[in-house]
Amino acid sequence: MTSDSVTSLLSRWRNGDEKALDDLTPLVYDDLRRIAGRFLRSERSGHTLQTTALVNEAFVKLVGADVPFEDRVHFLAIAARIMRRILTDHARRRASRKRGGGLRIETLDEERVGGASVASILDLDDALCRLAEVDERASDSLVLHYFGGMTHAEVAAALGVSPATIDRDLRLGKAWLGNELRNV
Amino acid sequence: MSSATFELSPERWARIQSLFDGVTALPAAKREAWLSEHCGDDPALRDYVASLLLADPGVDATVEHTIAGAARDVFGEPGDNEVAGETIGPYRIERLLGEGGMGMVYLASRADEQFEQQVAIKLGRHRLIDPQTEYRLRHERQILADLDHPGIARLFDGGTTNEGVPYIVMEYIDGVRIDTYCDLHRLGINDRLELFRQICLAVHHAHQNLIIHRDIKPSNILVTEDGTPKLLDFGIAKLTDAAGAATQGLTQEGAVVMTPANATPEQILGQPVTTATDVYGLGLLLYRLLSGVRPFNVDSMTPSDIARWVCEETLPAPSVRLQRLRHGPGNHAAARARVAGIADGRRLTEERLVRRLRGDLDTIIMQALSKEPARRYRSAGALAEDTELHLKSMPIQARRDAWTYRTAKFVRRHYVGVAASALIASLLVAFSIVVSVQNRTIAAERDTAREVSRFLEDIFRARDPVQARGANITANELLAEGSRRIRQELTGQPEIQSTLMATMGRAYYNLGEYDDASGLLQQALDLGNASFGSSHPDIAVLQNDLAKTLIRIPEYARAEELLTSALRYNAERYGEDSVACAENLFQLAELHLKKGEIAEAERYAESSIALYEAFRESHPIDLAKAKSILGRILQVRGDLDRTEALLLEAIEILEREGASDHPWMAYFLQNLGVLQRSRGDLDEAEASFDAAIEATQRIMGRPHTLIAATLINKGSLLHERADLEQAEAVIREALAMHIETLGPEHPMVGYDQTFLGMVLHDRGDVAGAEATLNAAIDLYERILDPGHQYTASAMTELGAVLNTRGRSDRAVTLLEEALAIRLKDYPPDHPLVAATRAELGDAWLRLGDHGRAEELLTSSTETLADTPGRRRERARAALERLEAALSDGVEQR
Repeated sequence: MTSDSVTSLLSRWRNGDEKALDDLTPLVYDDLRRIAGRFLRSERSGHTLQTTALVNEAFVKLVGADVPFEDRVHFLAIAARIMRRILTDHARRRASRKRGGGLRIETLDEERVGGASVASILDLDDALCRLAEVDERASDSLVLHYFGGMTHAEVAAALGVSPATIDRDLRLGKAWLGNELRNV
Repeated sequence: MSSATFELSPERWARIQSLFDGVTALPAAKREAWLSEHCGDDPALRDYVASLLLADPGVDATVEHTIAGAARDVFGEPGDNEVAGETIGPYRIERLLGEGGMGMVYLASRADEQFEQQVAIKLGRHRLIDPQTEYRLRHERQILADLDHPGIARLFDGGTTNEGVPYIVMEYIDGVRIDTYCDLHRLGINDRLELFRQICLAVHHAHQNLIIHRDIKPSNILVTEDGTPKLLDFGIAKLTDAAGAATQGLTQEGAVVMTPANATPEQILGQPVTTATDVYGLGLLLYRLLSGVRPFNVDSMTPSDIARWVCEETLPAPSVRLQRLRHGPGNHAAARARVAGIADGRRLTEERLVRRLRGDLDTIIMQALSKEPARRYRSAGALAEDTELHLKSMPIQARRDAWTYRTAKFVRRHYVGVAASALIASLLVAFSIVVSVQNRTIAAERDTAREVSRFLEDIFRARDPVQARGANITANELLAEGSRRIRQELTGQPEIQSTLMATMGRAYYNLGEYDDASGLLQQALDLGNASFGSSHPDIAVLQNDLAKTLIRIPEYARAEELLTSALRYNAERYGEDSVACAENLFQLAELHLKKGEIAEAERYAESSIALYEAFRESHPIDLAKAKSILGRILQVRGDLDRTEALLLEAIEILEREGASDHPWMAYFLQNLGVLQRSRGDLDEAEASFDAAIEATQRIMGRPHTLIAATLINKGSLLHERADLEQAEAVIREALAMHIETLGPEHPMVGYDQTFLGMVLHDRGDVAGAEATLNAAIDLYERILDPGHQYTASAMTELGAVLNTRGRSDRAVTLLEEALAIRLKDYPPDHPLVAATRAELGDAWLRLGDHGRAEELLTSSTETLADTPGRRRERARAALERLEAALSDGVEQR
């Protein structure tokens, strides 16, 4: 797949072709995954996996660095939403495997992660869905900001509203999210 | 306020958005009022918006952390090894070994060495920015690198990558996780116990080097091919916590690193981590190795459920847990199969596994898993010991320890109720010392503390009517037996011997048996110097306590030397304003007061009070006694108002602290009586003295030096009231008690004799008075420094007797000497100076030197005018005789 086709998929999607998004997703996914693997193993990143960096790197690889701002923000927005889906789907599958396993009474496996103060990705997803029910744009802003590492201006451009509006959305959205995650 | 209880709708959300925008535009101080005004009709809405204002400022970090964690799960599953060949510092990575809670672990080898050494490298997750943190980590690493034990994987090196990510280089252990190892080899219970015992010893070794593991669990213990268990990651949890907290500014990292199901109650509650934390970790490990399951089912629990189980719920013993799994509700067949599999893995049937665990093994594990750290095994070594005892089919210690603990707890709880005898009063002190030592984390000290505690337990047992066969054992007999056993049975253990001798010495001190006390404390100090070394903080404590005893004996010079040394040590170690110094200063005040060096005593007492005031909350009783000693000093100086104020403050502090049965209460009551008496409130004073005698007998037993001292004061009061017959009886009782408790060669004996001489003189038994006073002066000359105020008192009294007997020539010599001593410490207008001057005036009067007599008598009568009592009457009588003689002289002329 060339960067041309990604660009054209993007523009098709921007023009209302929902199927273009479905075609884009595996491309973005594959690349996100490949880039992530390298990030994780490279010393220079210190193994701090920043989805923001992944999304940006995927963008450069798939679309190229030298594209109009508009295409860029739209790609980032898509990648952010895809990232959210990849992460939550995976976690959900894992959780259902665990529950569906049935026979596991006990395990000697160490729990890998799990501190009382850390929310799970499913809690985060859940909170974002609830917010979408009352304020879809605020929820979307948070997704683009956190999963795509997009700036307020980029989010504003991607969603077609003023940066001031995104400022408001994100300020309240973050306060709300902080409350929700603390109460998990 | 949670959204779970607050229904949102798009309309409501819009309202919230506008309120939120409005309120965040305001300064913090105005927000609450603004919100109340704008949502006056809807308090739930107001509270909700207010809760949003308080929202976690760290939400960005939380969300990013969550996303990064999920991304690792998706993308980060180790598979292909693209890392091989990359370098970290001087190490070349060979392959990924796995991912630990704290980061990735790689197998690596030193790239530029002649011989190749394989190592394991742990890479942190976070970048370090702060050079101070890096310095601290390096320091911690150095401590860990010194830990050398065959059961512990060595830490070789560490550093930070060029990007500032910390890493640790450790000995590479080619082995299998301990639980997997046990299951692979189908090890029976005894083999598992033996492996466990070796792990305990390794942990114990680390504890003796003051290193705590903090995260003992199966994945941190590998067993090598030859069957040696090796502990990984000793102390690493602390390193990574420090790094995480420093880089994130959050304690969150600690929570991630800590596996909640492996956490101890104190870790969850945020209390200090000690060696007892590892004992708990070992208990959990043994639980899992033997029973194959955790104490509770982790899978179905949220972190807060787990926290509740760990901190609050009574955990089932392993045998109980397995029985419940077999017979409990729910998935019977699967559960039974699971238990059968576990038993089979240990070459036992289900029933036999349960029976094998029941009893000792349940007890050992549950003792290690006590919620309260202090109730667990005192050390990993003790846990190893009990495991060994069990393996040898010998009785384990765990049950005994539980009993000791309960006993100590009971005595502490029933402080007042139990404190009915001298025995309890003194052993209470002993126990409180044990308990405070137990709170320290250093393993060796805890071992010593527990030995002491066991020893005292034995003494308590002797009090058991069955064991003592109804004999009425006194405190002294118990202590004598205790000292004998310490000397004979513990010869190879100088540290424990020292601690126990000190404990016994303090108990003897509390019983007023100062010779025995000082002997034991001196031995404790000698042993302590030899075994702890002279720079150990306990040495200063021992010096102080020995000095305290020597002051009573008295051996002032040696006491002063010890106190000076202790004070110097404490000032250097803890600072000049430390509470340890306050106690030394207090004893120095006591010492100088006893020596009659009033100005110095006052200076030390003031310093001591100033320090204790800063520790008022934690040391109320010490503050009270420091105030009281200043009171006594000021009383000597004649500042009775301040004395009374200080004493009342001291008594009030004790009452407020619920310490009315504290020995100091007896002292304070006595001193209050003394004060009231000197102010002329004789009835009140007598009541205070009687209360003091009663309290002393109740708290400390009879005979006791404090009772004798109070008797003296009461005798003095009766004397002042001219109730001479009773006064003589009371003073003779005091004298006998002082000789009984302090021995005949003691200043207090001279003091009582002086007093008795005075009373006998007043009763008209002049010969008896002279003999008694001469005995007192002879005694003082033998045991006190020349020029002591006690000697001056006895000389003044003897001078009075000599005046009565018509031997004023001898009286003058004596009284001149006494006056010189008085003026050394007291101002010329002090009543004690006046008393000696009045007697000297009388002597000159009787010798016919009216000029000298007049000068002495006039001034002393004036001074004594405000001091009611016999002294004033004698001075007045002498002055009247002088005046009569003078007027006779005028008439004759």
